[in-house]
Amino acid sequence: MVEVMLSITIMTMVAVAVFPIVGFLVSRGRNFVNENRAGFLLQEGMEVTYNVFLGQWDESWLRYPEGIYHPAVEVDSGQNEWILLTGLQNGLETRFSRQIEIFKVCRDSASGEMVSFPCFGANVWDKKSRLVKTTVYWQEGGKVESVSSDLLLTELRE
Amino acid sequence: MIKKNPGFTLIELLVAMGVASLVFLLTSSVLITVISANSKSQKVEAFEQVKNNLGRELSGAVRWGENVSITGNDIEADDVRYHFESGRVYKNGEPITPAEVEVVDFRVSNNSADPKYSSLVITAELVHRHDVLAHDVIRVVVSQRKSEVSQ
Repeated sequence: MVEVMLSITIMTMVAVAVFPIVGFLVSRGRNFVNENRAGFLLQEGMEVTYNVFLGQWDESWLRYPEGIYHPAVEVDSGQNEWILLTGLQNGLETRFSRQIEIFKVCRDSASGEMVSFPCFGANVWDKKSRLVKTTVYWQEGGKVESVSSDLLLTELRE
Repeated sequence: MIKKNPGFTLIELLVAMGVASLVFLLTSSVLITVISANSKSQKVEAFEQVKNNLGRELSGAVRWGENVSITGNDIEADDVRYHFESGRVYKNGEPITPAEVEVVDFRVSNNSADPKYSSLVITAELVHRHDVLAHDVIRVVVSQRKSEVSQ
C-alpha cells in the first residue's frame, strides 16, 4: 500500500511539473506563427493604403473620408489596382480580421504640429495629411489578440 | 541479544521493481515529449525566421528602390535583381534562402494604383526539406515610396 501511494505521488509530481512545460512549448510555437501572419496582414493594409493615396491624393481625399476600410483589388482595363472598401474584413486566412481606420489630421496653423481635438480657432484640418491606423485581430486560447500600427500619410508639394 | 533482520519478501521486491519501472516509463516518455515539443518549437521558429528574412529583404528593396520593375516573376530594384530558380530565391545570383528550405513557388504581381510607382504582391510557398509539416505560403505586399516631390 505504501509503495502504491508513493508511486502515485511521484507520478503526480512529475505530471504537474512537466505538462505545463509541454503546453507552453506548443503554445509558444502557435503564438509565434499567428503573430507572424498578423504582421504580414498588417503590413499589407498599410502598404495598400499608402499606394491608394499616392496614386490619387486629391481624389482619395474625397473618396475615403474618415471611417473604417479594408483593402481590395479592382480590375480596371485589365490591370489590377488597389482600392479601399468600407468596413471591417473578416475571415482572413480563416482566423484574422483587419480594419484600416482613416482619420483626418488637425494641426496648429502657426507651427504645423499635429494637435488633438477639438480642431478650431488656431487649429485647422490638414487636407494633405491622413492618419491611418491598421489593426489585425485574431482569437487565441479564448482571448482576442491584436497587433496595430499607425501610419501618417502626407502629400508633399513644392 | 541478536536481532533478526527479516529482509524483503519477494512480493515487496516485485512491487518495488514495478513502481520503479512505472516511474521510469512515465518520466522517460514525458522527457521525450518535452524534447520533441522543444525541437518542433525551434523548427517552427527557424522556419518563421526564414519567412521573415525573405519578406524583410524583398520589402526593403522594393519600398526604398528608386527604379522598381518586374519581369515575369523576377524583381528588379535599382541594381538588384531577385530571381527564383530550382527551389531558391537569388539576389544578384547569390541565394538568400537557406538550402534546407525549398521555395516551391514564387510569384510577383503589380497592383499599383499609380503607374509611376510599384505596389507588388509577392507570394512564396516554402517547405522545410527535413520537416514536411513546416509548409507555408507567405504573401508580402509592399509599395514603392515616392521619391519625387510633386509640383
